[in-house]
Amino acid sequence: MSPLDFELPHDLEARVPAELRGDGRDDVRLLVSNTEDDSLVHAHFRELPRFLNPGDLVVLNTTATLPAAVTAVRGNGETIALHFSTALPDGRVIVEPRWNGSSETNGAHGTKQTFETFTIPGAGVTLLEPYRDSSRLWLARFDSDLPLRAYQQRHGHPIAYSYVDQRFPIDAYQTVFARDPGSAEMPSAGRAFTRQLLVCLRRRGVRLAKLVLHAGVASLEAHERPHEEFFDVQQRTVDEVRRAKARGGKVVAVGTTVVRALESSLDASGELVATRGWTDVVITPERGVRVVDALLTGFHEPKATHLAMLEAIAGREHIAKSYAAALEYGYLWHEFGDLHLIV
Amino acid sequence: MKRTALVTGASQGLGLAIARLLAQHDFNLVLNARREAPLLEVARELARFTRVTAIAGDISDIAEDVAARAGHVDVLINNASELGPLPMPRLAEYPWDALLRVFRVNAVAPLHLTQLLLPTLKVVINISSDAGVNAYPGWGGYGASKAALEHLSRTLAEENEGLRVVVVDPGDMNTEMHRNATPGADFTSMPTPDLVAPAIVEIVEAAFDGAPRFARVEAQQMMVAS
Repeated sequence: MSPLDFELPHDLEARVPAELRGDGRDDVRLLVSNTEDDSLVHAHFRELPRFLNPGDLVVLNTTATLPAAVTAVRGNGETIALHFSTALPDGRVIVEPRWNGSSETNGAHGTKQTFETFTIPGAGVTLLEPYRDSSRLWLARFDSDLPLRAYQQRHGHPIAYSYVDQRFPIDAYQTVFARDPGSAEMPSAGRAFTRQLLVCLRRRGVRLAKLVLHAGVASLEAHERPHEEFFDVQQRTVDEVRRAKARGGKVVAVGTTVVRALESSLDASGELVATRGWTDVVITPERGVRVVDALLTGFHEPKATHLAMLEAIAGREHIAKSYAAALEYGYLWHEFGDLHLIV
Repeated sequence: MKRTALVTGASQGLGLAIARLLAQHDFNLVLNARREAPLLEVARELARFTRVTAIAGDISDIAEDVAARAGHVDVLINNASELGPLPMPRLAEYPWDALLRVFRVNAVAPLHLTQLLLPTLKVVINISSDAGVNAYPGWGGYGASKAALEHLSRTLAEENEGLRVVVVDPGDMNTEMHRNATPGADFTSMPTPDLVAPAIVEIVEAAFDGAPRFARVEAQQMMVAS
């Protein structure tokens, strides 16, 4: 089944961080959709605690965002944007070359060639082979005196797409609980949280747990699988999930990265266990979810593979109804946009 | 592995509210308070949730005993405080021996506990006060001891890589200590400690998450007005 398709009007694309539109990073709207009866509530994100119950467990991804984009020059002198997505354990890097940072990708693959080398400030990147079946991602070699992480800190800037026409500092792309640098793009569902809201959740009796998943570039084509990503789910988090389940609480994932990490931490018998490594898991309605009961997430682009994950949690009709309402009521899309609690 | 938190002054007020919340957040607890009976009652209550070790006595006298029995401690919450003579005397009339005791409980004992627990400590929360920064008549002795505690905290953070030290000003609360300090004031508009404690737990978790080595936090700034 192909993912949900719809037309996203330009004026529903969030172009600047919430704190520049309103009075704080938590000043975003919250669409709450109830999977039991498909009912919808239009709320504000600061009301989140009242849609959760004492004993529920909110799971956060503490990955921090790297300045993963650099300006690159091709052999023919053409300037493009190069996005570092994921550094693989074998030393190769998944990269995405992009024309002038635009989202236009047609023909990109055809005009780039294996062993093409890009010059980036003080370093070079050589394309080795296309990454799996991707039309835009490449496995590449990074040549520099600096390790990639240090190189990015010095020369990189945050990845931004065409609907964001200003360059914001890397801090605009961090959650307040970010701790472990490693993501090419911010897991944006956590962006609206403030320390105050975390305290409100604790006061409500909602528990918080954390994990790490380093997100790669998100702008996958409709037909592409999410690529491999590093994750780390520790025993403390496993224990928290077990206790939440035991007391009848819901496990609420903040972001699709948290769903992917948790659902990648199952042993052969389907039990959640502490796991650290690389995941290839793709959450589809056919596969379903075993750990996650609810999801807080942003609004995803038409045909995005993440929509399949949402459908795995809530069903196609529920997501279609929610998205129809989000479009009708002018919710904002993308990493600086509004949020959707599927509960 | 469960983390262990040591909370001083844990039989009432903010210390009790913090201990209760940490128990629900799956910390093992080592609790200290001066009076044995209320402390043991708290220990019994919280033993339903987690492993609790209760050691009664004045922390400025028994820090070594507490540290020895506590063993591995990840989080130290120096909450026990000595208000000093009542009604709170102006500095011109402050009995010097009473001031020594205020400093001993509020500044020296927290440092002593930190020294003793340092090998395993990851996070130190020192409960301070607005009076440690600003001058209020009558609060000079108490405030000076909290200012000393804050300076000890900053220096400890500078001197010990890997240790997170957070000074927390919990703000005005409806507690017995505050009622003693300012009898006759209106306490009904002040939050109770159980409203402030979640902020302290969040501060502890943020410190584990790699917050800066030193921070000074006004807990009620972390609370959304409701």
